[in-house]
Amino acid sequence: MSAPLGEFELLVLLATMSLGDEAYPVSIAADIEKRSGRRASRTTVLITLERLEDKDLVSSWYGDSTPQRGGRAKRHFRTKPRGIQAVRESLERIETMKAGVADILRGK
Amino acid sequence: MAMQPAHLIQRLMQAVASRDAANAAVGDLLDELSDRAASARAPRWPHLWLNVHAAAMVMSFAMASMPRHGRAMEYMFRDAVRSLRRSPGYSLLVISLLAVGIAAGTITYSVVDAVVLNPIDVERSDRIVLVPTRDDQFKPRITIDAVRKLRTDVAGFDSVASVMVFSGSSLSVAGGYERSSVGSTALGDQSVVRASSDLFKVLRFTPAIGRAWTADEEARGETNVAVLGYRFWRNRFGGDANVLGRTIETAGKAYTVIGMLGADSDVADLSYGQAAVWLPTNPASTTFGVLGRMRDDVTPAQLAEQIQRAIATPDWRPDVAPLLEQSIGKVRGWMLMALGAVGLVVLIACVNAANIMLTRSFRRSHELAIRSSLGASRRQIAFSVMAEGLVLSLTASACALIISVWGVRAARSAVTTLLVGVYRASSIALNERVLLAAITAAVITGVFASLVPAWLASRASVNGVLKDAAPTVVGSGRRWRSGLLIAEISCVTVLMVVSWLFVASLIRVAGVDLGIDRSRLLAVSPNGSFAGTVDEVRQRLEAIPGVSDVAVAAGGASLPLVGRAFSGAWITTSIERAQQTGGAGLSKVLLYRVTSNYFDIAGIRFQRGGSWQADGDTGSVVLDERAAANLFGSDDPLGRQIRATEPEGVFTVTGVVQQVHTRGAEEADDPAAYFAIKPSATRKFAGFFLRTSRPPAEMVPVVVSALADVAPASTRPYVFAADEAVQRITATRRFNAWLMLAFGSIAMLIGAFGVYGVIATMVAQETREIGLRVALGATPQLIRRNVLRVTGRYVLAGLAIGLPLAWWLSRGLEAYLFQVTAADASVYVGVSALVLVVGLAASLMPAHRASRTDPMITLRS
Repeated sequence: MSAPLGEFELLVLLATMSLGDEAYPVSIAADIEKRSGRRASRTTVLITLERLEDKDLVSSWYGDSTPQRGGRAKRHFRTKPRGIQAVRESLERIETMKAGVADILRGK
Repeated sequence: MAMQPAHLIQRLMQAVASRDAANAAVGDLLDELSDRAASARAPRWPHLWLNVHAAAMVMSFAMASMPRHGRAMEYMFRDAVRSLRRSPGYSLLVISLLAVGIAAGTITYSVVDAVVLNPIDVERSDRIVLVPTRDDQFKPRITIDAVRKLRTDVAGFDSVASVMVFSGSSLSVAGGYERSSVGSTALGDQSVVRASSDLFKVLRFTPAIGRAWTADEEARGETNVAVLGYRFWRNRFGGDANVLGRTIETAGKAYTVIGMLGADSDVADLSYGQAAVWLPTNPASTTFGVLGRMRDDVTPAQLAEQIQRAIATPDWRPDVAPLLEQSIGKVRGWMLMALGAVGLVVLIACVNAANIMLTRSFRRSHELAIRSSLGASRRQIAFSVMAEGLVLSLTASACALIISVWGVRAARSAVTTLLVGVYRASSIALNERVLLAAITAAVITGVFASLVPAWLASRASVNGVLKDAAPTVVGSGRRWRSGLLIAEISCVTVLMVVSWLFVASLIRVAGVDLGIDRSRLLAVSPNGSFAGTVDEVRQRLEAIPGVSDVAVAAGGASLPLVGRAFSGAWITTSIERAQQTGGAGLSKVLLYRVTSNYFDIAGIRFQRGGSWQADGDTGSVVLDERAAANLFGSDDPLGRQIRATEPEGVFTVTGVVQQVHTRGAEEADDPAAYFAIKPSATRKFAGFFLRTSRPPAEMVPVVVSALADVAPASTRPYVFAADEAVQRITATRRFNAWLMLAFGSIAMLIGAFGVYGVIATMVAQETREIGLRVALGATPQLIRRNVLRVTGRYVLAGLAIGLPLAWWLSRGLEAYLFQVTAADASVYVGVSALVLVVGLAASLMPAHRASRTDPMITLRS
């Protein structure tokens, strides 16, 4: 069982997984903002990704450069199997904890 | 071209993240910028937006990476400590070298700073000057009245005052003082300043309570007032303001306290600052000094010229000197020299430590190559090697701190006891600024010595090093080490030449025949008139058991040597041949008036003739060899007559004595003429030489107590062995020579370690080559000779640089040398031989080890 993820780490990993090959800091930040409504700065996303890479949950590689980026390569991220496992465990933990309070959460 | 963040921000980004990650992050920013432009949310100033966001990113990255870097640092330092603990000999050596270097530098600089460099703690103290009031002959040139003239006529003075400090004056409070710590009216012996009112202006001292007296009051003769010194007022009266208006008594006179000085006057380096009571000048005083504050646009030389014009003395210009200069003039030169010498010692220690660290790092090039092949980046390797350097230099700094605290204390007691009267010696304390600078030097050494090999190792091909065929690393490493070793030997040579010159000067000074037999000779030098007559004093002295004879000198120059060691006057007179038949005219000589047994007791040897027969024979004179030669050339002066201006008359020469070095071996003095003392039943001022049958040190207290009732406390004469006077005169030179010798020896020892280290490493690195040579038939003698030849080459290269440098530097030291010149060949030959011998001796062990190389073992490994 891996170390528990923080909430933002979980969001970043989920966005990375859903974006697939298009996952890079700008798109991840936009995805989180679009789908969860939570504001995510690109820098925070990048630092979180680096931390996740340190924990060996994601890997990164440099893609092609575009003129729009001033000829600079894009840094893509991909969730590793360990990362997917960590997301699964985190969600399960939440599900388990949710069980006893489902009624309260539904407002009954 | 696409927009870019500022260059500095990009560099910072690359410092906190890798180059690629930084590039990608900038790319992301540009991406976002173009997205915003597409959706009409473009910032007003895109450049500013880009830079602000890039800078924020740098900050965030730095903050985020801190724990990671901290962890990495921890591992790095832990590895460094482990690695150093594995080679304790090496670590200890480097730590000791750096610690000795830092401590020596800190201690010496602390002493020099306290005594010489630190200004006196008075506002603009560099503008305060002392003006002598008497000339070399002790003749008064500036009178109390003339001081007033200086105030009005010398434009260069901002303010000027007469001043005199009397120590040991007895003080009391009229009517008693209940809070006095002595519980009675007496306040004991205190130092009293007598000064004109302007002194407060010169020193910028103001009373905290009450006021000081004014020039008008002085002019009206209202001088029965006193100002209390700050410390005295605080200590004796607990800072009680009610002392104002009380009456203080000293020397039988009463003075009303009109003020108390403030805390700013409590200046430890100033004798006036510590005085208990300040009184107006006695208008009849003939002995005093003049202290003035110069205007900003005037130099001491210009001021001296103005004073000379104001007091109209065409034949005498006062030697005006800044106050600090006056106190430290003598020690400044040699203290700065000591500072230079210690600078060299620090340099040698640091170079040596760097060399040893380099040697070790090159030995580890194999290990570094393995790390590199396992994926360690250049930066990681550099940091890990640097961590070792840092651990070493920081440990050395901690040791140096302990040594310095102890060493500064030892230096203070050495300076105060060995060099009597060194100004401000008691204020010597550890100088934190210097300690910090020295520690910085040590840290730089540590980092430099680690970075060079790391840089070289990172340039070398990993493959080559691992295959053990790495000419680049070993080759350039050896070049660095050889360069450092040669630099070190040059520095050692310079220091050895300088210390040798000083020691040689000391030996020559000690070897000079001063013309006086100092064994068991005691001097009694007057400090004011005796209470009884000179005849009474002489009888008392003769009656002391252990005193075999007493000679008297009165009405002339002070006793030889004694006058120079303590305080004395050089009274001269003019003599000429009574029958002038061409030849020399007037000749200036030191005037001595002595009893006939003076020569016998002082051990002054006659070259011809002898003393006059009986005291009171006032028609005779004894000349010293130089006076006789000046007047009579090679003629026999015995029985010839001379005419003198003081004592006036014609005298017959009864003897010629050898020259006496009245001012010690090093200072020039005039020839001397000895006249018979004039009989006087009322004379109360004279100096005495006593020949004793017991060691003089034992006799001093006996003589002092025998004179107790003819010499009251304030005029108690100085009593000491003649040897002590010589010790005092040569104290600075002796201290200096020993100090230089100590520095030279430390440098030599460090240098020997340096040679040993480099040669031992060289032998270790070339074991295979040596083994091969032995296998091919080289004898142990040949191998040994080869190693010694390499050492010889290093030493000769070091000497080739060091000797000319030493010559060039010592030319500036000629003023401190005695009968030795900076170009003295024997010194250079001696130092070269010594450095060569020590260098070869240091490499004997590695040479021996090399000669015992077993080819079977080395070639197989």
